[in-house]
Amino acid sequence: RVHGEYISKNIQLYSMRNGYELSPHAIANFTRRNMADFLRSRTPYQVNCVLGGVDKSSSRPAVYYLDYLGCLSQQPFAVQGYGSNFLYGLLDRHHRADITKEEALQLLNMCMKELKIRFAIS
Amino acid sequence: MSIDEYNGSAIVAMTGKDCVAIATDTRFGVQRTTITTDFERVHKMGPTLYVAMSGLVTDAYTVAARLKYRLNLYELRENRPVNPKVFVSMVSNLLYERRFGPYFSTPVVAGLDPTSGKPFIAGFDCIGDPTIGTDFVTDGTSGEQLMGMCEAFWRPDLNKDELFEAISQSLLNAQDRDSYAGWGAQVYIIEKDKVTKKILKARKD
Repeated sequence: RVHGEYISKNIQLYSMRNGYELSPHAIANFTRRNMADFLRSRTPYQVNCVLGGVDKSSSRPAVYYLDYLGCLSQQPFAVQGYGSNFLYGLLDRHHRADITKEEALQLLNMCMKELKIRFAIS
Repeated sequence: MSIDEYNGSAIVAMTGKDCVAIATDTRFGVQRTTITTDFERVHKMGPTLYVAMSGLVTDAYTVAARLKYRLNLYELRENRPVNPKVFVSMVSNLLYERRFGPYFSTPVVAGLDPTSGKPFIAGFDCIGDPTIGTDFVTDGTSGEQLMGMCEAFWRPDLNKDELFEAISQSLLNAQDRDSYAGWGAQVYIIEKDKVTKKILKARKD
């Protein structure tokens, strides 16, 4: 939570200082740099992230996988945690490059259902 | 589990007649799980100078970014493209700065001398010991497999098409013997006036 707040406040500060908002690509790289810098400090972040956003100017969506070491990868879909063992297969099967918003929401619901059945979450 | 095998990679660079090639696999995985299969390991440092990073991906990004930063400053000050030998010293210095807390990523450099056009390849260990190769340089979790394959396929003075075949076959067959590398391959053929990037079809496992 602390890391999330630190990142989001710094993003806000940037847009206040510079008068424009950062793109998802820039935010992802900023967060990655932050994680990588703290990795070898006495207080590394142990946070695995999934970042998502839409670039305001180009309207292009982007999803990023960012693990606690600072490995960043832009992907069509990303999962973190134990759920990834179940969900990557499901997403590989049903996701398409031109998936619509409704289909994507349905796919997310499918993922949640899968986790409820196969993984011990309520 | 070794930190060098956390992400996995296969990287090879080969010299030819007035050309060099550098090739990598495209798997980004976290131990046994494959996260993505289109991961770019090769970074362009100059019009005829490319670097591929193996090992831990976070350090690969950090080292590539720091290297580009130093290279940009060098080229601004000197007002000319960097010589690969000088670049190797730059890499070596950057890595040795972290001698007692190293980056777990090793670069492989491939390029042509900007003035003479002579092919140049180099490999390093994670603390910056440079090995300037005369024939080929390999790295990554499939490093040993690649050494064997390259030894079999490489000959002196390969032209660019023969070089492409040699490096591609070396990479594809070596990465098939390594579970942490594979899922695709990219080859960059670097010549004096152009650079060709080819994407190979590989075994998807």
